[in-house]
Amino acid sequence: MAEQAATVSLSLVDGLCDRYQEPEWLRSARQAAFARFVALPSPRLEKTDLTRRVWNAGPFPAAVGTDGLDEVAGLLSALGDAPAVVVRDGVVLRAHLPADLARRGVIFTDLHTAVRDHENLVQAALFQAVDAEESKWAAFNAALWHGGVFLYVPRHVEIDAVFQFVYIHTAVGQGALPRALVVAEDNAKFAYSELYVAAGDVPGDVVHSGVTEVIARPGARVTAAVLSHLRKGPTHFITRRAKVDKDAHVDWVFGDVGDGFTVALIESRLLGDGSRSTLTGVGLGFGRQHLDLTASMVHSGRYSESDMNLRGVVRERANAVYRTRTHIVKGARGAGAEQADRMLVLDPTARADAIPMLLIDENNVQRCGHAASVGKIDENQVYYLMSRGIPRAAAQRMILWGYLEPAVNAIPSPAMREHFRALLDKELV
Amino acid sequence: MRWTRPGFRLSAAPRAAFAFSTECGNVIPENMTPKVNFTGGRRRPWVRPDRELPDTVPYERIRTGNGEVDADMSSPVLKIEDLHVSVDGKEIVRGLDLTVKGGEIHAIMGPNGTGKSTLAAALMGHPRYEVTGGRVTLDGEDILAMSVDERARAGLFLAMQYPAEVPGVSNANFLRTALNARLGEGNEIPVIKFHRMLQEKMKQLGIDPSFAERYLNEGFSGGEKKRNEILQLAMLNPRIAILDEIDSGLDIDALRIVADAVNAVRSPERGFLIITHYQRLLEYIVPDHVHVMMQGRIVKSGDRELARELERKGYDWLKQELGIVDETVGAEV
Repeated sequence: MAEQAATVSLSLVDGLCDRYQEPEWLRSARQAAFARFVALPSPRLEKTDLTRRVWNAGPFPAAVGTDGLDEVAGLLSALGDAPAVVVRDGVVLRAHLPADLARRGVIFTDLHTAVRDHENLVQAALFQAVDAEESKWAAFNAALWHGGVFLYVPRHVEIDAVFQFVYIHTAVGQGALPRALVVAEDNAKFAYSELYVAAGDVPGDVVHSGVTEVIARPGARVTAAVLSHLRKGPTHFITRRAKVDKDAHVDWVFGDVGDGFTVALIESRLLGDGSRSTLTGVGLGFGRQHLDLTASMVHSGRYSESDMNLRGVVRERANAVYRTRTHIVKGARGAGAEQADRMLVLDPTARADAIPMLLIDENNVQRCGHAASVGKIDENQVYYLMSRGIPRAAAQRMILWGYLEPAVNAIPSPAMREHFRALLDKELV
Repeated sequence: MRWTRPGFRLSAAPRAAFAFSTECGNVIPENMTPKVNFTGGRRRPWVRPDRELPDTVPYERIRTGNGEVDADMSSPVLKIEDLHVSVDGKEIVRGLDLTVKGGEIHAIMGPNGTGKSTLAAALMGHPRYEVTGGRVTLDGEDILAMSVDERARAGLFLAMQYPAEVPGVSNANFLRTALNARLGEGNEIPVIKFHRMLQEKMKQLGIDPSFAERYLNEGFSGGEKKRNEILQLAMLNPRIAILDEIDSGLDIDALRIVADAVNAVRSPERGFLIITHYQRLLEYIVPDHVHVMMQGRIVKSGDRELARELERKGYDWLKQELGIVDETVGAEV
């Protein structure tokens, strides 16, 4: 099978630079990233065949309407007065930051506005966690990102409200390249929640490559919920990475419902001493989903700790690979890590792989454990619930919800939690 | 705190009188006539209204969203005729006949491996247990043709020896779903009423209130699991209740509590089939009939005295009397 050639050109990059009147450093970074994207061969992954996927995106619309958003209307109205940035097909629909948060120095706006108004802050953080060298799709995003979000919380500022970023992908968009940049200064504390929604039929033969960068400076506490509703059609790439400094904590909440073709990475680089990161994840695949997920914790800091707890459900002809990787780098003395990866297979045609990986280069480690399982719904549990009068389908639902609920409850934004819960509920059994 | 105010304490008097009056047909004795208290004789809204109900309101009398639940108050009949049950191709129950009627308590005793638990699981419809012959009817309805949940909704209940653990599903959520499945759509029990009922039943069983929000059987001790089974029995109000070794793993105090709870739900509308190894349970829950199972069938039936005799003398005299060498299923010569 011959590799499909990229059908995008550099003019797309220049078009974006011109449209947003970007500074020179960004223009050259984009151009370099594009060159990198062209130079990199189509990657060969162990569990995913990318040879037939088309690397296509654009032209990007400059303006979009608000039609065809019925599926997310409930979510959008539920966002209320909470800080929220809503982007549809690369165009900002709404960017709202309550005035009291702005007074405390918080910046929460779309990334283009941030480049214009807070150039120094953006320049210092952009591409720090995920750069163009990372992978072909990260380079693709670095060259062509648009319609992203920038969140900056200054030192010692603690925010109770949840910052919400919604990216809606509809038939209008030709590919989606959102980029979220979250910066937590020293001892800042807040929660961020992003949701990528495919509303209606999204076009095939395009690439969606999303990047989320979280920079947690010393002592910061960040909860980052990264949710997606990835549908069939495009090739989805997701790269999410946190750089966790000394004594900082980053808690990921991962959620995915869909039947898309997806390669995803979520990683915390535990760089500082005493840094911590957790990952709570839930995934539901149906249809002909292909999900190649890598959840990774890289320990470089001494006494850094991490915990991963992933739960997946596959049905119909879905094929999900959940890879959990813990890497304790030499010198990360006293590091501790635990990972658990549980998969439920509902239909005999579905397939799930749970692949735990422990890479330990340091001798002095306080704990490092893993657990992985792939199984079916326990018939004894079903029988027990049925013996109390609950019909089989309802019993299975209860068991599934019992299994998924803890991760769903961890989503900090109530609006997104309910939206995600409804998505899961619709696609379960 | 409010409940320490004198007005509340005095208001206890009229409530006691009220509770008395419901039991005695509204005759309030002269000396218990409510006195005027600090609250002006009016019940404060924060006095729990459920206190006015007698403690043992059967749930079929509790009003639900659409009015009264029409519980079938007739006496149930579970009829087992010539039942044969196989597990993994091996016949365990071999021609068992038994009829359990409302108001009756039947105890099935017998040594290990004689098919007692198999009988219980087959009646409930566990997928591993295959009924290869015979008939089982509840009030004339063929139980064996029903799925497990249909059997439960028809009024069959099995308190299990090894109940499953279901993480993530709270006890309260599970019980409410089960109760509503029995009550039927449009007849669901209101949430507050349900919780009040649950708290009351848990109190009767000496169960900690935190039980309600704990995940179903997850991390429960053996005794807690057994109590939870009885809690479900008390909540779900079945017509025929099968208790499979409900006494195993219980200490004496817990045994008494469980037995009291079972006795509390004895009624002419409910029949019991109690499977046990030990006569001790039957000292607390007095059976009307005692059956001994060996080799997959009932070999002897009697009354309470039979259980006492077995406790005194063991099973050997019975085996000799019946000419059984090995009582285990499949081990006979």
